[in-house]
Amino acid sequence: MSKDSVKLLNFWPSVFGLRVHYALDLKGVSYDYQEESLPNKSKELLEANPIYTKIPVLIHNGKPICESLVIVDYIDSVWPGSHKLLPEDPYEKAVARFWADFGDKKLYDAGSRLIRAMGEEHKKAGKDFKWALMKIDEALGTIAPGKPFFGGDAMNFADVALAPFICCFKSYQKVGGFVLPGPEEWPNLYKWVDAVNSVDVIKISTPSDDKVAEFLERYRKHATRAA
Amino acid sequence: RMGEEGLKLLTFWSSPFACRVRLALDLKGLHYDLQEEDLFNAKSALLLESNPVHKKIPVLIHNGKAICESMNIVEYVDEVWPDRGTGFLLPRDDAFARATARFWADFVDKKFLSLTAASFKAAISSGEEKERANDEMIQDMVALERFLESQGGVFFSGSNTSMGFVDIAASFLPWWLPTYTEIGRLRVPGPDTCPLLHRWIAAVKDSPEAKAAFPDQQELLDFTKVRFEEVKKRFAQ
Repeated sequence: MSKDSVKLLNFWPSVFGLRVHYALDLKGVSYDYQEESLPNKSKELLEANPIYTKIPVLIHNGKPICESLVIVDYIDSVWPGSHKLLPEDPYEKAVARFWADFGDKKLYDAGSRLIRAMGEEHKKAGKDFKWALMKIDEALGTIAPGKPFFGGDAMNFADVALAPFICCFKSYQKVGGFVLPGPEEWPNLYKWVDAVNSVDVIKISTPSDDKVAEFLERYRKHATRAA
Repeated sequence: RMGEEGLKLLTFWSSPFACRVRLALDLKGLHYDLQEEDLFNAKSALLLESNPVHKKIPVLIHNGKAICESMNIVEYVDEVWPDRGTGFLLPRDDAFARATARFWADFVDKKFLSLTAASFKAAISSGEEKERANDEMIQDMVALERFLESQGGVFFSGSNTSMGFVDIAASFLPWWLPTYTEIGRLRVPGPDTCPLLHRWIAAVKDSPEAKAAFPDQQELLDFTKVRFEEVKKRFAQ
């Protein structure tokens, strides 16, 4: 039986790259890792993702797959046996996809603006970020009441899509100059955070809150100076 | 056979997102109620209940459950009714081909339906900024042409006769390109640079399902002209 060749091209602070790490690690897939330097992208990255020249890229048996959620979907298809990420039921699948997409449209978007913007736009980004977390707290209560994850007892597609933002919470609060509401206001969210942080394989690739905060603060200094 | 009872689509006639879902439903030969939402005056209670997070159309309601986000709805429809009508929209047995289709559907969304897209920036800006953004938009269309070429058929699905996932994602373009040129005053690549894309446009416009799903071209132009002024004001620096 030939061995699969699996390689992840990534940049360690990327929440999108972390999604791919989580999917592979939850399934116990072994893979090579290549850290990319974004001002100095490797020839391999440029050839693997000519459209966007961005990480993450998964290279499986020589074929590149790009865009984090497309990659996670692909991983779930190719390695279905261990830890299925997408539910079998089409409606539950659609709900999982909806919340994964919410991570991009609302959570990432607000976080990104929080890092890059100034003044009024910065304030609004903070409000939007808190709104997004509130919606996630509500969703957890509706979709999987009494359970730790969107996927119930185990992480699913939605959990993998959203969990990478957890290590950025400290950074966003620092940059945004606010403190997030606590577990009294968002009980489901905090239970979910604890549950994610308790999953052993999640710890393998998650950078520390402080390391992320240091990176994002430097990034913000650079981004706002250039504005 | 899974019942279509109570299949309802909450829609708006000039939404490219809603129209492409209609196209998917029609290609599958499904029967459904169409509920036109009055987006500019009052969204219906059903819409607000069905999509409380985004409050947007399209929403598909099936057996009392709401599915939101247009390409998410198309995937749902493809999974629940895989063999109906035109057959499956996403490649069934090839995970890499599926990933490729999802990538290019997402490309269409990022490049032609997003407020951060070059196409949008080109439309609302002027002078050198407009020209640069327009050039970028043309490169995006050339990228689509290259992908279409690699698929080896009339449609992005690779088939000469049936549309697939990427075709449905991009299906609004034949009706929206004239709004880019006439209202956005943008340059678009012609049949000399993008012959396959133009052949695809003609094939989509010829499809009876697409003709039924998408609005009358002149009505769309008239409506877009009015909306565009408001949009420009909102986004102009």
